[in-house]
Amino acid sequence: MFESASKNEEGSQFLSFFLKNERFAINVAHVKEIIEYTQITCVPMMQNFLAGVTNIRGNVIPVIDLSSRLGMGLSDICKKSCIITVEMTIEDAKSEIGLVVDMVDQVYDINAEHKMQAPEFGTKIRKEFMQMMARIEDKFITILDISGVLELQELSKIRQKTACKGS
Amino acid sequence: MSLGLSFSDIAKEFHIESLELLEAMENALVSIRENGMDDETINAVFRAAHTIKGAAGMYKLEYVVEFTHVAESVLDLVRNGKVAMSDSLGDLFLTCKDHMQNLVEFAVVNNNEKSPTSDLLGTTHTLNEALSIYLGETHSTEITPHTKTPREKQWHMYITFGKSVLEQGFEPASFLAYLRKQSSQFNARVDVSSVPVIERLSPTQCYLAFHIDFSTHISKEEIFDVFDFIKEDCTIDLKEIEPEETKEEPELTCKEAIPKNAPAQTTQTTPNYTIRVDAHKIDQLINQIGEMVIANANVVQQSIDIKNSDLVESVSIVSRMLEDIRESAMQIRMVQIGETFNKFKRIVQDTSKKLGKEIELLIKGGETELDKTVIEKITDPLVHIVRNALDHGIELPNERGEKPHKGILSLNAYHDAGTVVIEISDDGKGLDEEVLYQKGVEKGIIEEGATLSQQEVYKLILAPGFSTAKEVTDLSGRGVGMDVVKRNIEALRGNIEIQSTKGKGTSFIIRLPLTLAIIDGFLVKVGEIFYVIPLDMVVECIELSEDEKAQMHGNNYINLRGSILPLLNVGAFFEQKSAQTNRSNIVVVHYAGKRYGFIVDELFGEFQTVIKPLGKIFANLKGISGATILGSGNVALILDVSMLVQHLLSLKAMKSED
Repeated sequence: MFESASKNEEGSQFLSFFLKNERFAINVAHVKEIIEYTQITCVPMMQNFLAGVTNIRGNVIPVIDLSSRLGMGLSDICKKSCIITVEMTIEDAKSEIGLVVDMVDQVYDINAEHKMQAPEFGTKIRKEFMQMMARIEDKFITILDISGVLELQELSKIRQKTACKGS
Repeated sequence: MSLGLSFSDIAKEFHIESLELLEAMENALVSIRENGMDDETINAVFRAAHTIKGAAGMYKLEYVVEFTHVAESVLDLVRNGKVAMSDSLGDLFLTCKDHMQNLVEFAVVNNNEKSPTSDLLGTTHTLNEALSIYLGETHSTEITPHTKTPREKQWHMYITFGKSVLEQGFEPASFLAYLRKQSSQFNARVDVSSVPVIERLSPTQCYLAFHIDFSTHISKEEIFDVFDFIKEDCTIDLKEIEPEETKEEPELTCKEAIPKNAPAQTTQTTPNYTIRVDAHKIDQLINQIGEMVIANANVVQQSIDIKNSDLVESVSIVSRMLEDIRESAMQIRMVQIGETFNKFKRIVQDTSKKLGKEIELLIKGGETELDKTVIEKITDPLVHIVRNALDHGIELPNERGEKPHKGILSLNAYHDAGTVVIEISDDGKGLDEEVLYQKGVEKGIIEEGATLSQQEVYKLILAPGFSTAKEVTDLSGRGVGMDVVKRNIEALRGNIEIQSTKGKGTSFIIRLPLTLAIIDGFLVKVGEIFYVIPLDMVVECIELSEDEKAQMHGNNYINLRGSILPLLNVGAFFEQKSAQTNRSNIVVVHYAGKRYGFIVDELFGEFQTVIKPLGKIFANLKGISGATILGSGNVALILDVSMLVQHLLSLKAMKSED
């Protein structure tokens, strides 16, 4: 019914949030909703960054620990932790995925004047995860390429049999 | 609305309608072949053909119209008693029905953008020739001309010019003049109803609209192209007017048909009143009810915690009503299996004729209902089993010995303890265990000397690459089909059993769950994770004491009342950290006639499980078939028992190799 969010052309509005005290942002066109951190059921045998699944109004959706996905270590869940749900089209089917973040900040209008090329090297996270960098009010924001971060092939990999994770 | 009506918009509707009509046609033809012709059935065939022709004409599927018309003409002659119905004509009509279906499918798949392939046209031609034997020559020549040359069509157009066309420098009259040049007849009337009173009239604006009747040879697109420059501001309403002579002919036959037997020719001919609802809407309703069941489980839990007996009472009433609603909603999806069974009449007739066998089809329990999605997925496996039974099961009349010459194939469906059972039995030669075993060894499916139960030997015929027929016929024997049977049935969480007596016959017994959306589950916990095991697979639960654990000596089985029970430690399988509790429990499940034990930490009992898919991210995850939401709002994972059992068996196989 409310398809507008995903159908929107990517606009200039970005939702920013914190991971380990660093500012990141994703385009609001992908964002469906932001909910409080809730009970997540671990799914065995998946990679560490796949936190598990959770129940959002009767639907079971996968949740990803975004900080871990970006290679910055597992999130420390605190009072302000949130789950941002994004809507993606995976193999022609719409699916919702939740992202755990430490704290949601605000929505910024990011225009050409704010944009900076992502540096060639010196960034912590993998290049295919980054869309670009932006600078607003002297703050640097890393804008994530959501389709790179949520690449199905990588997410659906099964953990190696030998590596045993305590749950 | 007439503007936007392209073929792709209505293709789905047309497709469904045609398929229904074609099915009705086939049923009627089969019944004619079985019980002889009566007015009602031949009229049903005629009506179906006629309606398809009409619909195809509306959507300009010339090749469908052309072909259907010929068949319809012959049907008309049969109907009026001018041509006698015979077996061969009946077969011809059935072939025509198949061809119509192919043509319709082709049109729908290609969105009516391509002209039919030479194969299709070839078939059209051959069938037309076969049909024209029954027609007078005059008829066949009468049909061909109007489809060959792009004939002139009559159109009615209502065009309202945009107010700003003059300001943009266009002259409306010039467009009309151009259209007139393209038309053989042209008659335009101006509509001045929107011209305002003189005080408000702006001389730079255009207020005119025109009614135009014209006939032209150019296509609809070309007509629109005429107004290409100004199309953004104009509203154009274009209708094709059916030319008198082609309109009259079907109309007349139609009028003839109506008074005889069919009071409601345009609507469904079935007497029961039905509404066609988008399946998606029903899925949505069931989803919502599923959510309510989950939410209600939460309410129940809380009411118990509050310990207010009035509240508990009220909540239990709501729960019961919710249960009823759930039942009714699931009922909507339920379809009688009879319709599917009826399809086999033709397969049996055709196949037995081809093989030179005499076979009678008995259908029982056609009124048994099951989920529509289940029916859709079970049809193919049934076809394979039936063909197999006809081809390999039932013998030729002279080979049947003391049994009656006429073989019997029976289809039976009934409900049994929350499952639907479909039985396909034949009274043929039965399965030969030795032959099957040898064949299995030959094909490398089993090892020489392996001990197999009777059931396992029978099930070899379901293994991929297995075929016992000495020659491959075009019906079965490629060893492909029966493999599909097993896979489809397992995908539906069902199972198949084979019973056979040599010389007496074979029965395939398929058990399917009633529905795919909600099941009864058994809730257990391993470590921090809740798992659900489908309840109908659970036989019993036993405690695994420390002593027994010690007695296992690292083996993966225990002695359960004298027989060996293979065990799978669920926590270890999923590589979870083992729980700190000392006590473990074993859930004994039965699958495919055998028992297995799953080691879990805690047992919680029965639980109404609304199945939620896990999505593509978890596609590689083995052993879990879905998820469900508990009353607490937590998510539990549903164990895929068949997958886990296969894992156990593969472990066993690996051990025996060592």
